[in-house]
Amino acid sequence: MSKEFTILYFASARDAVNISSEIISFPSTSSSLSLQDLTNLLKNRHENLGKVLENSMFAINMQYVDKDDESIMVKPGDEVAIIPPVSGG
Amino acid sequence: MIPSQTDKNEYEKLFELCSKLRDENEQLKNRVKQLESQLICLHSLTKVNSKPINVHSDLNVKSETTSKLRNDNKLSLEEYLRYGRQLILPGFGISGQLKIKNKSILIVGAGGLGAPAAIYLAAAGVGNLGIIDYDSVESSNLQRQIIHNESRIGLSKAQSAKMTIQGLNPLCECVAYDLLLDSSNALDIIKKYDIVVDATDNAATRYLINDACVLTGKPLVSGSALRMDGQLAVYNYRGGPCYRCIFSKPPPPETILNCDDGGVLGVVTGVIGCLQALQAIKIAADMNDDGISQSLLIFSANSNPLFRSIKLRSKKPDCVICSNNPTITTLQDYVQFCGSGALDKSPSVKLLGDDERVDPKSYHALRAKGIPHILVDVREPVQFDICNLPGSLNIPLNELSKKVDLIQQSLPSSVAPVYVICRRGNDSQLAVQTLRKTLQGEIKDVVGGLYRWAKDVDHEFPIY
Ligand SMILES: [Zn+2]
Repeated sequence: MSKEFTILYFASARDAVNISSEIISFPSTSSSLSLQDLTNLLKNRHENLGKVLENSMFAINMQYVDKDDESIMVKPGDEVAIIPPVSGG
Repeated sequence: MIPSQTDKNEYEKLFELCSKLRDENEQLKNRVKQLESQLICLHSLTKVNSKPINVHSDLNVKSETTSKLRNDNKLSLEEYLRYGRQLILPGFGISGQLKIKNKSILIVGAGGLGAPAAIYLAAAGVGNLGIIDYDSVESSNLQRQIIHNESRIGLSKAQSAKMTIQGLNPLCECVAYDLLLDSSNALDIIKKYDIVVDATDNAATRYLINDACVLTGKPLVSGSALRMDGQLAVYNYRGGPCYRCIFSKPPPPETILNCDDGGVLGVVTGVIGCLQALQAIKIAADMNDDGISQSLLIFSANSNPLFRSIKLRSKKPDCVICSNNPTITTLQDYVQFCGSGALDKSPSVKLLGDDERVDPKSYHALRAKGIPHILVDVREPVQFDICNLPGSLNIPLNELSKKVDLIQQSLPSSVAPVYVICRRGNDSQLAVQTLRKTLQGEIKDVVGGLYRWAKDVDHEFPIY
């Protein structure tokens, strides 16, 4: 199994990174990532994403995850969605 | 070709006549609107003939009809005929129809989301609809706010929505609230309704409505849309989360775009608004849908698939408002909480001193004299393509720091000044601050951007 996961960017997150999805390899030696590690990894990859990430909801495999829950890990093959609130109407 | 003096005189005369006619037309339009408003008031009066309307009620509601408490357990012959197509639907039927007839739904916002939501809810036969909006109809609304039309420009959105609904289905009782929903009036209004539809356009009002719905125990059908994206969720319903359980921190104001600045495709708000009507009808009719209270539907008009459904959490055990031990028990100051409110849609900022700025007329004079300079237009290319000033160099604000050398190369001489322009004069100031970090010499922004250019210098220049 390849040690990769997919990130889906929605709304202002997609605008900030200019792509709607990307496949990311786990950093060497690890095959899982905490949500805090994921946040740091994404911030380093995309300089414009920081502020958006703080207010976004995360979902793994289309299921909401609590960003403060340290037991939640991103695993190979997971699809992580970054969903910022849309306010307009 | 240089126009002769007589041409000029002729032109000025025509121009004067034209603006006179325009003024006259404006006055007549306003008169028609006044009379239309009076007509609506009279119409409302005769409809609820028993009780007069208190025009200056404490809520400042201009035309609130007193909603009758209904408990109709049968349909009229007219209703059988009108609603026949949904009466024969298994899972809805006459019991569903009677339920929605006896329900009241409040729609906050008569814009891109509220327009289709109100139309479908009224058409379906919801007994009582309240519509709140403090704004009036503008021509730039009509691309998506299809409950209004050309003849309503300048009229209150709430009144205009009510007019459309009365024309569509007179059996639906509609109350128009010409007001800004805020912490002082939200609870009083919301507690009168069974279901609340959030069709607003700003973060502060979203948190306000959420908190008011939690405090009054009302299900909240939340929809939002911007650019090509939309979101739909039902909050505070059947043990599901509230808006704060999912989005506990408001987005910083500088990261929020509204439809004026970010743009939106009308049909995107239409899709979400229709889905809001659907969820509200399902709640009103007590239809079975296990997932309704714990899912967030994401619509991305530009991707495949168009829709994705995210399974949400249940109530957050430590949510500040909807948990068993809330720390928020009354409505708050939401403008302060979010750092921006419903009214400051596109606030004009002033970051630069007067000596760092040039007004459009002076800039025009400088162009006419042929003074060597460079004009940098920092709007996105999609906006630059709509209209631009001849000779301007397009570098979007977010690429500016990387492309300073492009400006240096294009400068007619090393001492030539740099002017910066944008749509409304906010981004251009940020751009001047960015350029100062690396560029020497005179750098100024054009005050008020292309909007003021069109107003003050070139009346033929498009405003969008
Ligand atoms: Zn909550």
